[in-house]
Amino acid sequence: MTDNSSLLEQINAPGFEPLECIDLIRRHSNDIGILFHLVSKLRTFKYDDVEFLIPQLLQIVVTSDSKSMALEDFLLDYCETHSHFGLIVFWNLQALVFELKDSPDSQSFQTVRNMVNKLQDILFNPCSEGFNDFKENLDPALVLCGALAASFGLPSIHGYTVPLIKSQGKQSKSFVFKLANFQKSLTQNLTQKNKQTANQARLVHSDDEAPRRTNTDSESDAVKLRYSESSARSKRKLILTLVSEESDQNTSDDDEQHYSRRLLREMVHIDETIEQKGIIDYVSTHKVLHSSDSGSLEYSQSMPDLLSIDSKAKMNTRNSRKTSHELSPRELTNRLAKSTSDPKKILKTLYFKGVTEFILALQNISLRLSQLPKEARLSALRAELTIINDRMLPAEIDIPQLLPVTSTRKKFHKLLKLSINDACVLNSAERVPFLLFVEFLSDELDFNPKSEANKGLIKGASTGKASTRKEKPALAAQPIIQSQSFDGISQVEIDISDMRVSTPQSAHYDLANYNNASEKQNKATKSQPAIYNNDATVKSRADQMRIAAVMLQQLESSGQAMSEQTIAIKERIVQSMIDLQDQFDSIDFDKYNDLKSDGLNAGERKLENDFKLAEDWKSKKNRIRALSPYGHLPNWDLCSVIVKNGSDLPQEAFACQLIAIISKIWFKRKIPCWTKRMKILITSANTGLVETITNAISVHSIKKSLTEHSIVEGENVRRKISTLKDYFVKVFGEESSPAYRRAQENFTKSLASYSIICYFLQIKDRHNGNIMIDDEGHIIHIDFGFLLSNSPGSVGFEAAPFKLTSEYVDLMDGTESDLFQLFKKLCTECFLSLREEGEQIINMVELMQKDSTLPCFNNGENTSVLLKQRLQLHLSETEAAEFVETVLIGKSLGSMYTRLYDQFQLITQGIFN
Amino acid sequence: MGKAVSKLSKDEIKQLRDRTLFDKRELQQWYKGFLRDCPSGQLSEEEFAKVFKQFFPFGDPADYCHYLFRVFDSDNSKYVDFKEFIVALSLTARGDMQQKLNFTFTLYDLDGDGKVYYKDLLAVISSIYKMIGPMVTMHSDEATPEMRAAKLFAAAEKDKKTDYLDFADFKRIVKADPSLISALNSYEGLV
Repeated sequence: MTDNSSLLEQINAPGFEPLECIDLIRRHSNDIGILFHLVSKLRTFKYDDVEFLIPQLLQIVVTSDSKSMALEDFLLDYCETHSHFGLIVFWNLQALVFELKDSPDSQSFQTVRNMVNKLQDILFNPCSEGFNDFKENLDPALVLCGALAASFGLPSIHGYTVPLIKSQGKQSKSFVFKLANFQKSLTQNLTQKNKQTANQARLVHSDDEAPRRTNTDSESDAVKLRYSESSARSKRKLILTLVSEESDQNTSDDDEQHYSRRLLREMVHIDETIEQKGIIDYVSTHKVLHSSDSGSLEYSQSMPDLLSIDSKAKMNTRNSRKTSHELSPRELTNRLAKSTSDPKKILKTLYFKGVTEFILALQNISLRLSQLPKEARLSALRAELTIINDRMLPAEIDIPQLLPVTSTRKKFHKLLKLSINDACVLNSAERVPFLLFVEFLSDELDFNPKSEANKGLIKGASTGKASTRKEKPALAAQPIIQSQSFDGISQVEIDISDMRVSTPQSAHYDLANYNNASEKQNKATKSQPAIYNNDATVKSRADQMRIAAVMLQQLESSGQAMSEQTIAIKERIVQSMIDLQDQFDSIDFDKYNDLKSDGLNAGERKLENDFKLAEDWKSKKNRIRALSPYGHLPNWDLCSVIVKNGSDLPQEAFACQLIAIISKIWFKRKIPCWTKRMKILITSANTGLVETITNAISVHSIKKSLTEHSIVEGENVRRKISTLKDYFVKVFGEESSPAYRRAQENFTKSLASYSIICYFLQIKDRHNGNIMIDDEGHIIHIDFGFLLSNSPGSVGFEAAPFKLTSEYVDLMDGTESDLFQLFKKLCTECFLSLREEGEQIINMVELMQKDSTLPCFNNGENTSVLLKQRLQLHLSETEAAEFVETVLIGKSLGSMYTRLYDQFQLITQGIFN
Repeated sequence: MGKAVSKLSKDEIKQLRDRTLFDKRELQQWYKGFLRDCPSGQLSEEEFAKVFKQFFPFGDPADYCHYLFRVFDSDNSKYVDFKEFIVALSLTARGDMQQKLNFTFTLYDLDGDGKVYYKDLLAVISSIYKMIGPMVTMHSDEATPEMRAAKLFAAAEKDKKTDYLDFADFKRIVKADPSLISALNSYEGLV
């Protein structure tokens, strides 16, 4: 029998750290009592530290085949109490489901799915009752008997046993472990039945709701394709069609009925959000399941199936819809109001729904843009954003993690609008990230059901008279492209006939909706400032743009060789879109023209984070504030994010985490180093929001604009490419000035930090587009597509330990300078401290590499081994210090490779070196 | 182990419905759960102890398990079967105070003669303290098993050297002590 007393001592020690805890949790994931104690320790840590570790906690849940419920319980509990936690976990789970979709029989997949089900109930179901029932589990039942019998001897024993027994009692294990084959067919029948009812429910439902236009096409489609590969999409389309029909219907409804319907639609809507976000993934796994006969048994029988749950939900909705015809709307409302007892819960549900819809809408824009020719993207983006502004904002929502921290955890920011004319499309052909400026009110929201504003919301939710405009169908409910980026298979979907079906529909839908919206608008204007006066025109423009975009997509995706005629059409559309693009923001046009000279740039930008030198963040913010109808509010604020898609986002997020942990080690040891804390919010396996660095410019653009500038000014007759030193002199002043000196020192400190990080984590692809300089002279590395075990291309261009160009050295006044001594000293200190505390990082990589498909873990289990090797633990401290100087710095200094790589980038990508 | 029978027979159901507070469906469900977690259908003391070690990793539950197993294994077969388990669960999780106390009393009444002497009580309480380890902070007046055992004898106004506690004493002690009543109700409504 092992003695756990030293372990207990370690856990209960005052300096016990979150990372240590995570590592122990991983090692003891199967020891029920130990894990329970460790997890309860998590509650004692600062909230932010726990939120930071969400990906790791989920990874443990997924990869460990644990008998313990403690961690899952903890996560769900935190999701319920901390809204941001809930959203982040929700999105991370989405990503995991996608990653695991190819092995639906695996324990991991089932764990995730089970958890998604529960979480969806917590987040989106205002009547959720939680999951506290005791299932038929032998172990906790035995301990229950034992603990009860011990009462007499030690009544206080229950303080320890009750939570543990309750938690373990919840475990839902499958009853049908290894049953005979004959049950298989039964199960399949059941599942098919489920699916049928699901479809029927929807069909009936559509008959019910929109007798004048049942979409027979998609119906028969759905039936035909039900078990074929594309069933996911047809089903989806069907749902989407229904949504649009509902909204049609609404316009003609009389008031009372309208409200009750709206209330019901709210509920269906929750479903939809879930479906829109999740079902693509789930259905695609389902598909896999049905095609493979073996092993699918446990999957479909033992677990609450998402689809069947969904179908049940639909059935329920349908039933209550039926009753809604019999009951008076008021009765119905009362009934529903009674069933949702907790007003706080309603507020939270509205919030969760709002945020997920909003984020989904942003992601979909990015997907849709990628279907358009480059010239039309900016226009389309602005049209899309206008529509979001119109339909969803302002609303009681925020963005987790990326907005500045609120004064207390109880308060939330409130999003007002997107600044449309400042949004821009960033580089890259197949993925279209875009830069977004979000206006918000800081510290505006909370979930206090007693506040006046919230009372209105609650009332709105339970009577249908929602006071905000956001319950209009989400932008996401557009049957356009959508699934393209999710996987290769869905490419099939976008054929021309499909587009023909969806185009008129979506256009119609849009228009109907606009009418609907502007009606409401008119009512709303009384209470709002007169900012929406030109809304009608803006909206019709946005609408034209949307239609133009759809037409362009159609042209582009038709796959036919471009005839002269189509090219001409295309050009005309693009031209008209460009003409429209700057006219979106609903602003005062006189004011707008006054300010326009400030340098509003309508063109596409070539690189991320590449802001114009002319306009720094502050003046940009002031300009947007001056133009904003909300600018006069005292707590108005602005934030910029990049909406991105691409499969490497989870990896980038992980890189940022590692850098943050490393910096924390250095900070704790008071090493005067400097790194930038970057935040990335994962919103699914291949989408996310990335924090922008508002006060920095990429080295590439520094050089480019400086060179161009000097040529124009005639200062650079020989057309030399400007150096960083030129830039520092230009921005900070004379070489001897204090400002220049300070900037130089900042540069040196940050360079030393990033150099050691780049070596240790093997961060590659370090061309000047991925390196920035901020307004204090710090160097900042961004874009972590390549680290640990992958690098761009097979050519080992970047063989140097890190990037140390002669230009950097010049900026530090050469290798003999005091600054360079400082650089060497810092590098050494940083490296030595990593040797002492690097175990944390290695543990972290070890945890995350398990079963991972991220490219940075290409080396599998070796990834962490190689990482550890780079710490050179076999060397003594003196030897290690020497290693830094001669090997790391020495090699980097002389490296031709780095220079070669920059040249390679200049030639192939046009990035300045 | 390959046992094909995963359902209780009608007779068994009837018998268990008389002896427990579970309905037919619950009995079937628990039976399935029991067989899933203990495929042989018979739980040995060793397996029994393993479960407790999992739940009490920071202490040593072996001694307590030995006493507890005896209470479960009412037919003295050295194994706990489903019937013994479900009866115990019914008593502890659903029973009234009388039933819970009955189960408890059996634990301390080591030789089954209806009399709990000080040394018996001390032995069982010691095993409980050993099981929980440092995970619960004890009141200062019952910091050791000896103190707790003496306290219980004192509460019953019995001499720990000569007297013993019987079931009626147990009942009196519990009635007078709210912390014991709430302890015995800790799992009310859970299962």
